[in-house]
Amino acid sequence: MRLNPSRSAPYVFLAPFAVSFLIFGAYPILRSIILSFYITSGPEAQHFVGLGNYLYLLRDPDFWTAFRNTVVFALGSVLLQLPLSLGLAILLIRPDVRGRNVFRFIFFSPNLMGLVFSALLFTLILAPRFGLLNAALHALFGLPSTTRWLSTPELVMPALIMVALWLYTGFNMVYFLAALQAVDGELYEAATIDGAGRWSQFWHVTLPGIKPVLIFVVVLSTIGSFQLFELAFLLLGNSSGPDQAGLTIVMYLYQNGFLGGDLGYAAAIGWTLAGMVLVLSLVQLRFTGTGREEA
Amino acid sequence: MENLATIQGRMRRWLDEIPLGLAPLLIAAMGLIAGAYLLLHPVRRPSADLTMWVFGPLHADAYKTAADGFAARTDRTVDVQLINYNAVNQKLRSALWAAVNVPDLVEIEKSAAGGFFRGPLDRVGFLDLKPFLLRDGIIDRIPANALAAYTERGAIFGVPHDIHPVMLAYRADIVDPYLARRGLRMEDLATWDDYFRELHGLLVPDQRYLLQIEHGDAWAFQIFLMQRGGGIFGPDGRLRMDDDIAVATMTWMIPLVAAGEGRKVAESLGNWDPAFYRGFIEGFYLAVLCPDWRTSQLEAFAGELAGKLRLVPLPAPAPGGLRTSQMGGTMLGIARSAKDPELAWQFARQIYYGSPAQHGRLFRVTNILTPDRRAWGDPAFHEARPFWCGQVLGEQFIALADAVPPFYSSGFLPVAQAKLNEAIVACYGRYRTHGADGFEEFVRRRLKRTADYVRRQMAREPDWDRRE
Repeated sequence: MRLNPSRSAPYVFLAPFAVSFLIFGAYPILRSIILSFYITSGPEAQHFVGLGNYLYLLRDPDFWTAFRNTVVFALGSVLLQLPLSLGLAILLIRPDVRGRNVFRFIFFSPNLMGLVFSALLFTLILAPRFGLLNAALHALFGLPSTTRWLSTPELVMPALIMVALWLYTGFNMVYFLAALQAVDGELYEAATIDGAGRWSQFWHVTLPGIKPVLIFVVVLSTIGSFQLFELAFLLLGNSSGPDQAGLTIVMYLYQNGFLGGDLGYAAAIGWTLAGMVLVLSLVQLRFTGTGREEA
Repeated sequence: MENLATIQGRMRRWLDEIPLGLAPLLIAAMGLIAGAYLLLHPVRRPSADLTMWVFGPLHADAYKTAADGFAARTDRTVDVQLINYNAVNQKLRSALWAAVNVPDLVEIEKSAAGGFFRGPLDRVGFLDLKPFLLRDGIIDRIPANALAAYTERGAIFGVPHDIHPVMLAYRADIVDPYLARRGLRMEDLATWDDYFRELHGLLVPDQRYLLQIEHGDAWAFQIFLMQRGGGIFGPDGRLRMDDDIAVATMTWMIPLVAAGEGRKVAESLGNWDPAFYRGFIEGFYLAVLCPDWRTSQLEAFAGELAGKLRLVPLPAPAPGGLRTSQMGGTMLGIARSAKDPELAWQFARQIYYGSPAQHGRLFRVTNILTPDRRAWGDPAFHEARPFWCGQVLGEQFIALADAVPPFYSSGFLPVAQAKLNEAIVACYGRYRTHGADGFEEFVRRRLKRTADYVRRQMAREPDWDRRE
């Protein structure tokens, strides 16, 4: 029997990735499912608890604190960031805006810096008494210059959302710019002839035109927000801020798995998070009707 | 020309026969070339007899020098690797889990150490060093409390690099003249009450406070707690963060930072940020709680304060009380999987309990007091330091070394500290809104709730040793 080269070739070329994925991707994923049914401690000790980790998690107030914080961050990110990104994109696609390419670059540029650098920068900007933000608020509105953004529980989440806005608004703007460029200009001409105003054009032409990208960005931002870790870790450290105001689900996973040493419980948190993100994404897709039009 | 056309034609026909075209062939070729290159140029693995992981750059430099001397003396080599503080813990945990690339020796920060001592005693990733310490008579050279953090169920899994007595670093240029006018010296202020009472005239709301206390984390609280004889965990591993001492400490500390302007005597601009140093330089607070290691940080990051700072023992909570506390620390452990534990111990002994001159050299750079009493006679520990108004730092620390209270670690320390943070913030908020009215009772209830949470987590842990 002779192998048909054109049939077997794809499998041969896929094999390196498939083998690597099975070893370094699929196996750890399966292993983490098994691990989530154990309490682990130290390098070798494991104790089977069945669904015990999941049941404990449901009664664990810290998990719910982390969940609440994560949801607040996700809402803050999606509801503030995306309208801002879209607004910037609509503004910077207009040919009559002078130097629009420079502005596009400026708004995108935070992404050119590393997350660590950005976090260090904001540690200085948000510093009490000597930080740029406090100095500006004091000079402009007479607010106290000793505001402790990263060590006052009520201010920690607004500070995180603010930094995320600075980091990702420009990034999402690029998606919207690309989507807006793909909207047929004749539709706007037709709408203008039909007497549609700017708001009506935005609602009936722009939004439907960029809908696939909009949904993609919403889903991506939501998933990204639920996976928030690095930013909170860099700004607040292991402790996740005063009163755990910056504790996110992934931060809680990290604390349990890598500081506390219970990888089993951490795996249970991870799988619960994965379930949440999956459900949330499906709900978003369902609400926006994605998939139904194509069917 | 004809020949060239023939070759081109052959090439085209040959390429046409390749399944899926030229691109996959190129990818495969690149993969083969890259694979062959890697095979021919393997990553050079350290061929040293011992591998050591260290997270402090100054430690790494000192140990590399010591490794050279060790190699000359024993003909055995040590590969000292500098790894980031957070990374060393994760990397070690992964290495122990996978039993791959476990270093022979490793330094770990004290608060993270307890996490490595969980599980069945005979499966902890470190060797019990007690037999080595007893055999070589080193145990008598170390203040007893210095071993507490690394002792678990009778085994000593790490040897201490330091003791870290806490003192009070204060702005001598502002405080000393003020006290002199009143016929006093800082050394006369024996208790915290004395301190706040006698310096009250220097307090300027929103401009100058008497002490730096960060109420957003448990750092200062733990220092005060240990000074009063308390702790988060006790020697038996039992949680004690809600006992009477903890309640009394919290009830005393919170009003210092939470009382209304005019009565508030402590403030903070952060514990570790540049703002912390700037606040001290600008006199926003006149004194900071200062373990020995923090003195070198002040020298490095607050150079403007040279000749303006002095150190004194902490004022005591009550007359006759303890004049110091403890904060931070590093241990050196030898992995259970070490290729040659005896050789690893020889090197550990050299760098931790080696010559006094070696410790002296390190002290001049780090200001960290070694727990090895034998080294304390080295001249470096008796030199006046211009930065500290000519004070002899070594002698100051040595005088307090035996009084440093014990710190007991636990695998549940990170969660306990996180919950303690919450309790501190809650107590701060309660005092801001309700003042002293019913505050002690609130503190008691809040600490109990906090401790109960940690106890619930601890209760999930199987009794590993009994299971064995």
